[in-house]
Amino acid sequence: MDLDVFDLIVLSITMLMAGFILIWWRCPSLRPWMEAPKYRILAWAPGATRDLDSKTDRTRSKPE
Amino acid sequence: MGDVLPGPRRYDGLIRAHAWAAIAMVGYTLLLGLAVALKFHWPDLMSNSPWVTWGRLRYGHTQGVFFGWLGNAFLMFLYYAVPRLAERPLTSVGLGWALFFVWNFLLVIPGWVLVQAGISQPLEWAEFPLEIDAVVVVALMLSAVQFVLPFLRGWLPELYVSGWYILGGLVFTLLAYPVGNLVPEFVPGARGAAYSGLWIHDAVGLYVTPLALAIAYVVIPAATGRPIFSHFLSMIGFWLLFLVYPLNGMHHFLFSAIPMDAQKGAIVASVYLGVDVILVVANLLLSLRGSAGVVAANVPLRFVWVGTVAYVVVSLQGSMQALLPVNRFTHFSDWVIGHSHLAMIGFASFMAIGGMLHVWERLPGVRYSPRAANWAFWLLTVGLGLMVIDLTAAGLIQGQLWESDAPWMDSVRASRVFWLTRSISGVVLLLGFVGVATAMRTGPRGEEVLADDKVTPWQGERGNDDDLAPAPVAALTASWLGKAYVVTAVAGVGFFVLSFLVLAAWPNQVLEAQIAEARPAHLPSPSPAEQRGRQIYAREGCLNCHSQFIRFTDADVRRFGVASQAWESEHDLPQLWGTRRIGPDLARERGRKSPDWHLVHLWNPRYVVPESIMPAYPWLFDRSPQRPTPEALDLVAYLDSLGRDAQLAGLGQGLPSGIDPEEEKRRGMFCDCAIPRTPGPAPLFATAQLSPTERTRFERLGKDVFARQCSGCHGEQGRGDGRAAVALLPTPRDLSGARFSDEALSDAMWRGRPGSSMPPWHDLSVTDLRGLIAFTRTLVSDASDTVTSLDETQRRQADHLYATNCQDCHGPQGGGATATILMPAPTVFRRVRPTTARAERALADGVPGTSMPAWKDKLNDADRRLLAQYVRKFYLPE
Repeated sequence: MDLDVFDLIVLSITMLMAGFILIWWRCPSLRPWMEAPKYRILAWAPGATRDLDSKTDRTRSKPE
Repeated sequence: MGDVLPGPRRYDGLIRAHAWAAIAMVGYTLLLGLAVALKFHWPDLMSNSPWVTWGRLRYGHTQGVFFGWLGNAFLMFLYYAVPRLAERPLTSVGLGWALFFVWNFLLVIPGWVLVQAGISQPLEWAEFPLEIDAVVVVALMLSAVQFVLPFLRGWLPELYVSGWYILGGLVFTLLAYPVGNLVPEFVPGARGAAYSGLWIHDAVGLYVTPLALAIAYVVIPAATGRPIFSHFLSMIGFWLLFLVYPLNGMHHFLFSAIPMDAQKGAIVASVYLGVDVILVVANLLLSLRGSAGVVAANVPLRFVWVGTVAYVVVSLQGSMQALLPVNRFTHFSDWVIGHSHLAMIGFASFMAIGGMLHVWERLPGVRYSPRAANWAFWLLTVGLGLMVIDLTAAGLIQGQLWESDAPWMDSVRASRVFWLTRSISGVVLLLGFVGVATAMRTGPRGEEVLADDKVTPWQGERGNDDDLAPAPVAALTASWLGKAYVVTAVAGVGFFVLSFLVLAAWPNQVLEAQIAEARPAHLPSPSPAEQRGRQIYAREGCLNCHSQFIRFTDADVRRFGVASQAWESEHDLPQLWGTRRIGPDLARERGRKSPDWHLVHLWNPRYVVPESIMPAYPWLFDRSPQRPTPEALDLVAYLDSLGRDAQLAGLGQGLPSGIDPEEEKRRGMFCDCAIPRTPGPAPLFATAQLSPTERTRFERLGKDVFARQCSGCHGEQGRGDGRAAVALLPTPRDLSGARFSDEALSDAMWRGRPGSSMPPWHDLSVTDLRGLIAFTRTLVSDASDTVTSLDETQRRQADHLYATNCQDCHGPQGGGATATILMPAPTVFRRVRPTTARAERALADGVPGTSMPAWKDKLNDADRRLLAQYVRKFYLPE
């Protein structure tokens, strides 16, 4: 098979995407682990569940 | 100093220092940009000093944006974000101050000084010289030690996407920077361009983009108090970015001699990048769903929101630009400048400002004014919109004119209004950044933090974190998946290696073989003067406006000659292909203009091209265009060498490259373009038969064209006394000193006058040429200068004198010698009738710079007068 750069890129991206989707589809138990980091960062936000550094994260904006 | 503070607050001093450094440097950088923009209208502005010439300011502007502004802004944000993302302290506050010193006082400021002093590297996004490159590598290593090690020390089971982007950006740039900046110094021409292309895109895609996205992914949840839409999608976006972005680089050199397989790879990668960005931006915007009120009220978040929108627009624009039909049209034009400003201001700067203000308003003890920040937002948004729309429109018009056969100056003339708008938008942007600085200097102070505040500093001192994560995570974090990002970091390095191999090393190898086969033997090496001239060309940033890269497109080939072959730039170290055309391509410059013309043009381009916007280079002369310094002569020698190899190899004559056409096609060196048009015999632009009304109209038109194109040399009255005349040899023709036939003028304008500084004007429209001819014919006032009839004795004597002294050059009966090698060609008296006074003067004194000698020592006054009358009789009126 004569693969050129074009084919190589399409193939590798397709495999990467397919890999991600396959893991998502076949391993539902991993989904919470995959999504977990997005909750961790909320520790910085005002009113979040945990105050990592209360003074430094106090904002002077007045949302809403 | 900050070490006495607990937790992440110990870096507050560094945050403040980098923030103010960023603000100071963006101010200076924007002033450089504004000066560059204003020189489009006033090219003589600050033109007496080499330190502030256009090309050097342009070098300083781009590097200032990259290192001075964005570099400091990103570092500021990293000092805030990384301790929190890694949940570990940074390596050292002392290291932070060392990095601050290196970044600003050993990298940016010396880089600017060196570039302005003329020590630079003529590569896009790599303009600081090699000495500074070494400092950059050190600074990037210090950055990696400072910001990457905390992640590695932490072994976090759950690394947030911003952490991934920070790790990826810092590590990848550390790998890519030396490749893009050092390798082209050792690999010449097309082969070096492959490596340059890699870095041009990596600079934006793998340093600026990851760090800007890291900001977005922090600011959005922090400001809204809600998690991002999907961390899974964000990770797909991250990995696609790092796989696809490095493969984009070659799309800056489409239609080039670089193997077509590599170009096609870059095109498909560019399209995939657009898909990836849609994914990333959809995730970011979905994270903002239901938060319109917060976006409206929170200025830093609003900056990030606009940055996100700009990101998708600029990326889709980039994907589109990589498609051959679009690239053919828009490349080299202001469209690309609009694109790069949308990327660096709309996306990167808006994200950086959003991140800076987000951190700033959380910083204790500093002032912050949301009101000023709001003003800054609107000024920057208006300035950005104005600039991008304006430059995009300018690019479309330039592309249209370049695709046509319109003269180059038409595109310059059409661009003027857009360049003016660009300057205005630049002022608005500058005011916007003043607003950002004001927001950070005014308003109420944040609450001071006392040293004994109780702050929860780092993991380990905090207890169990697992209560934050959903249930199944606890089990998984203990498994190998907890360290998965180490494995994937290796994959990231693999992506770099892949891009290096596919877009740089492999094309390099293919090109090397092609060049060895196609390069004609026994081509001369550049002379020492040409080599020195090349350095001056690079130093002054000529490549910012003049490409040396004729693409395999119809329009390029028609306008500039046969497309550039890979072997032609094998002496170019580093390559000077360029990525923008404000002036014409110079790859085939040899023989197009005389050395005198080039010298005058360097002294002051307006002398020979009245509408030129090119900067003057008076420091290459000793106070006069007649006294060029050795540097000016070297530069002209270099300019006159461009395209010499192609000429010697017969490329201009359509001779084959030596490679079988099918083989050429297979290698991707195909060309679907027409054979270059060479100006053959001139068509006759007849004016003799024009009606009086038509003649008046053409003469009026011709007067305008003459003022724009010809007056610099020939003077406004056509007496050969234009501003450039003092430095041209032979001097420009005194058009009032002879009557020219339509045929003579058609020929001179179509082909120029080889051996003189008169260039060909065949790119002017037929109407313009006819107008010029009609106007030129009005310049001579020889109504009273009748042709004296000669008696038989005089005629015989004149016949003898002419046959003995003149006929060899001027031909029998003034018809021109049939096989003359003299340049400029001797006057053909059948087409040109000098006035008596002019003819007598030429006979007495000769014509300096031509083969016409002075005859006053060989012929007496009477004979010369007789000959002057005699040659006037040859003229054949239409």
